[in-house]
Amino acid sequence: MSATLPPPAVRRGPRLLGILSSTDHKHLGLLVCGGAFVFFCLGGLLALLMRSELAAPELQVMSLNAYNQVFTIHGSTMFYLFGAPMALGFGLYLVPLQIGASGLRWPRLVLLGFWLFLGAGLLMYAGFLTQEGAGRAGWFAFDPLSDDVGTPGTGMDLWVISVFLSVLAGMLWAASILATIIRHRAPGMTMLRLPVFTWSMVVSSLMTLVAFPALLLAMGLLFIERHGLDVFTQPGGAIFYQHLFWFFGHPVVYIVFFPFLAAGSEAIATSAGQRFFGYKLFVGSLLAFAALSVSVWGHHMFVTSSVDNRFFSLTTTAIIVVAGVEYFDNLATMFRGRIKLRASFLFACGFMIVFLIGGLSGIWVASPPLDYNAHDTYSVVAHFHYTLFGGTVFGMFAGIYHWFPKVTGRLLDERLGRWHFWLMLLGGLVTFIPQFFVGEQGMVRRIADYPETAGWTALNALSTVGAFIILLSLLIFLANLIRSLRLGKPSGPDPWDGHTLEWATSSPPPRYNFPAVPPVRSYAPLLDLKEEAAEDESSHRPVASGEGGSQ
Amino acid sequence: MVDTRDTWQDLFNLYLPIGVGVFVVITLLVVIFAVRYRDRGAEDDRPRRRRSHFTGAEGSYILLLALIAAMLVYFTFTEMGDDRANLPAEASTGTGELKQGGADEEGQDGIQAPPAELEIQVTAARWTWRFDYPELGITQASGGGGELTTLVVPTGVNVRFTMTSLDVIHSFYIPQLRFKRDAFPERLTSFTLGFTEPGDYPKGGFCAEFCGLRHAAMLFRVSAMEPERFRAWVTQRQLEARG
Ligand SMILES: [Cu+2]
Repeated sequence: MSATLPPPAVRRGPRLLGILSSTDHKHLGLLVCGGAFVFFCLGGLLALLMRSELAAPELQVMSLNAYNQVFTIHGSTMFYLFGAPMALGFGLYLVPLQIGASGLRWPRLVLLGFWLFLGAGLLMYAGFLTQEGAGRAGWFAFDPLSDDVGTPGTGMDLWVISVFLSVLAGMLWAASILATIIRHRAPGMTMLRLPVFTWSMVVSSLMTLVAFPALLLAMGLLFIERHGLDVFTQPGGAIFYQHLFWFFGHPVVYIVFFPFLAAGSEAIATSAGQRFFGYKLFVGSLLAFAALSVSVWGHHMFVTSSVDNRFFSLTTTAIIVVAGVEYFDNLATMFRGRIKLRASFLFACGFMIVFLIGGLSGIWVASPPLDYNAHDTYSVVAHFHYTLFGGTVFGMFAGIYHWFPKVTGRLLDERLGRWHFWLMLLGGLVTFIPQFFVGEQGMVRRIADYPETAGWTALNALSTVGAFIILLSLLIFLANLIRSLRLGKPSGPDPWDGHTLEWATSSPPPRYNFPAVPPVRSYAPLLDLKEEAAEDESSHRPVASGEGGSQ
Repeated sequence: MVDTRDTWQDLFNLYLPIGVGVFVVITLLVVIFAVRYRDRGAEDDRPRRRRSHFTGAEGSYILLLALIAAMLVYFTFTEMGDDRANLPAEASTGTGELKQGGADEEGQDGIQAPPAELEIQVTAARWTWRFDYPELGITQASGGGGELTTLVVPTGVNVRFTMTSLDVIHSFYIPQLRFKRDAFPERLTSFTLGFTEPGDYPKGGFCAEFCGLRHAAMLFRVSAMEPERFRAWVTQRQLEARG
């Protein structure tokens, strides 16, 4: 039946320019994800620079000033230029396909967002070329360190503008995704039949629209402050900045988490060949998670003596309940399945295990007396890298191995995928586990140098070794990517026996996605059709006429 | 006496085993499921999961999670209370007058500050620390040239700290006490600490909040002395000051 789809239209002409001005959601999604992936690599290189410097006490690789720029731009890159754009970029590509739509609502706004995002990235890195260097007040840029006295220079101004632009871009993308889901669902696709990945995008987009304006405001005010008008230089101004920043800064952690959690869930359900378990509860827990996410920001401020520590400890610990539901549903989806141990499934399992370390240590730092020690030490660095590396990065790779055939029409190599997975798992453990120990012993963050007498040298050296193992795993992935783009086996429309609508069209999908959208009766419409067909066959009735593009 | 190490240790002893236990259980489940339910080809006729939701199991599981969360919050809150309330009675009859906590302190933990015997004013500035003992007329400051300031405290009594910053945000952190607090410009932050063990703290103190170029070098020494030695030190410093 797949042969009935029309061949890709005449799209083989001057490709790049066409793509850079395209309003096809697939081009838009690829642009944003591709850009985010480039920044992921750049941010990773900065991390390697830092780990090289920290492998031993004293300064070997770079100056203090350079180190401050490097960790600032590493963190800023990973949130503003990689995490949020990659999460929303996945949505730009996949949401219309999953809901049976022909494209995104407001595609030109999305394209504008891409150009803002590209500008943001270039401006942030252009800071390295300025006299004083790039932004160097941390990815959080607390006032008054970030004002014109604390961190003078053009590079820091560029950083402020860059963050402003990238946040604006994220809001445009989120608005488009949300509007698409509200207005362009296929017939039969009710809100409670949206695939789990699309639900994760509903929730992430909502959080983006609620939380990002706070940072937009903070960056706007900071820019004004840096250019002569006192904004935060009032009593309480520094605390006000932190409230604004963390009101953005905590939800953003979930925005870069949910889509990849759901990517893992889709990979698990497909690999296990079973319907996703506990759908309604999962959706409810995502919504509760999002609601909680805007009530926990104060846990970043336990040591400021300015927030009600008990309140924020309570709301943060409550997250155990919603996060626990997601683990339950993923495990129950595997239960009694016929699991094909593909790379996407391995990464989804890696996500569950590696993220778990971050989640459990998150409960730890939600207890104020424990946080009085952990805050701003390497314990916290290890904690949130397990959430971001375990959640965002492992989940992203689960998604990439899962959807690469849909996007390119070719399969990634599974054997290289397994090497990539096991090395990245090993690297992730070797890099960040030692950081829990040095943090517990008091090693603070954002330092290029540490006292030799503190006894942290061996653990830091080990952590550096781990970082290079991660590098190796990523090189394997890049080799796999480049090789498979040219030589990968053709995947056909539905290589994994998928459950959701994107597998009902050709790979890559045509300009307007679906010649005909299959009927939708649940959150796994394709699985419904396949089960019906199997039943018909087992009862020796003639096979129902194939619906849509599925086999 | 306030004992932040003790508070930390109590919660550590509770949170660590639970965290490790949950990690082991879930990791095992993931691995066991992946192995046990892996695809074994066409002749595989093991039973499939029949339902795609199970309200009873889901509900009891949520209840269990909520109970765990409630227990953790309960113990955390209890320890936070102990942080302030678990004081020997004689502390309030010490030499220093009874000092109530500022609004900060009450907002922080909802309990008034414990009585303290010594007051120390902490001043943070890029990239050095200064400690003033207003009742004793002593100032501990860096002599310059990268020399570290030494915080000298008596053991066994509550010490009341009042802290501010002259420029950006810093954070006063003594790893061995498991305690840190941010210092803000134009704002006073107060807290009470007790030092149980005498001696020079090997790791000393750090600035924990990133404060610019030499943040990594913004360290201080910590020297805790038994009350008698501390009094001798005070006398000596006062004589030096009169010089
Ligand atoms: Cu400092």
